[in-house]
Amino acid sequence: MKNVIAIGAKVSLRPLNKKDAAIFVPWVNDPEVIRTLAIGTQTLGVQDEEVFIEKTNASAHDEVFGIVVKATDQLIGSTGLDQIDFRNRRAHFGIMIGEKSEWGKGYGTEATALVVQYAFVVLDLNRVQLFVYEYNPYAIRAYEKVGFQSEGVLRQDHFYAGRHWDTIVMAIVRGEWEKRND
Amino acid sequence: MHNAFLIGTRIYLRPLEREDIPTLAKWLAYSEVQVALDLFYRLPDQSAKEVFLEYVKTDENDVALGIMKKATDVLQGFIGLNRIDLKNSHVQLGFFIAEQSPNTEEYEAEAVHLMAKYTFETLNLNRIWLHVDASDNHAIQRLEKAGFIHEATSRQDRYSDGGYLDTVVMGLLWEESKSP
Repeated sequence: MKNVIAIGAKVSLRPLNKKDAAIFVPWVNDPEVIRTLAIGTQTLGVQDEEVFIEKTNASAHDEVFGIVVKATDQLIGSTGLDQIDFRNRRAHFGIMIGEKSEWGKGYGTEATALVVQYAFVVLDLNRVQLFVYEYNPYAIRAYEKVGFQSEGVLRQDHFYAGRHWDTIVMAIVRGEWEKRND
Repeated sequence: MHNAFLIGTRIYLRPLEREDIPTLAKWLAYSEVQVALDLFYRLPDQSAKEVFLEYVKTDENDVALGIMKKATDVLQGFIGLNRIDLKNSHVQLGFFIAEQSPNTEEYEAEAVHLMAKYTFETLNLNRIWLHVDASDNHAIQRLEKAGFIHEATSRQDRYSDGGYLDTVVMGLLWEESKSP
């Protein structure tokens, strides 16, 4: 484990650097991976990924981490916060497990919990929000496990596979998180 | 009417010009305008020009228009579309009417209706959404009258006057849009 930002039981989070770009490219072009992501209408090459990593690393409004399986030290995806707003003390959460063979092992749930902890303990935020599409019940359950609550439904907000789908707004606020961690 | 872009019964919408900056500078001192533009932590005199140029810097993702009273040709407020999302076919609406009069609500309803019609029938988008303070029941009611539906409540979304306030997301779909 190198440059670790947060450590869970099964995964850890570490910063991303330009050299990771090539690992991400097959993931961010894979229809099965991007199915649940906000991206998905552009092809992305190594250079695009390098720019994304450098841009988010330099930005005060983004915190993007690599997700690493502790047992194998393998990078399997990324997670983090964007639209970090320090005055309103809120941010938007996102996650991608790109390595499909690692799906269903609880890594995403644990990485989500680590980012939420980072948001409240390190960044001193008050609210973490996320968007999840109605056709992704697996993720909704994972977010609920971490303590996110559904706040409403943005009707026909997301276009995927030929039609519009609803987007569910979920969030966890600091008071709820503290209660869970008493 | 000058440079009218969208024309209603009592108001019309036109592009903004540099000559509008002094008007905006005056409005930026109004707290409700500061809330509408999310500017309330900046001093108005410093930011009027900057804000204006930012606001009118429209491209294919944004539309910003002045709300004009037809009878007098006086600017009443602004209305705009933010971050047009062509793939998901939705856009954020923002507006405020700074010049208060007995007809303010009527002007607002007309401006929102003109913009909704433009969004659906010209831009071919499917959904309009906006954020409103959860405590602003009056604004929520006016939007509901225009056909918007209260879709979500973001808890503790915004910090103001020493505490966190909830924000409501209101949405309008093409299939359910109706005349004011």
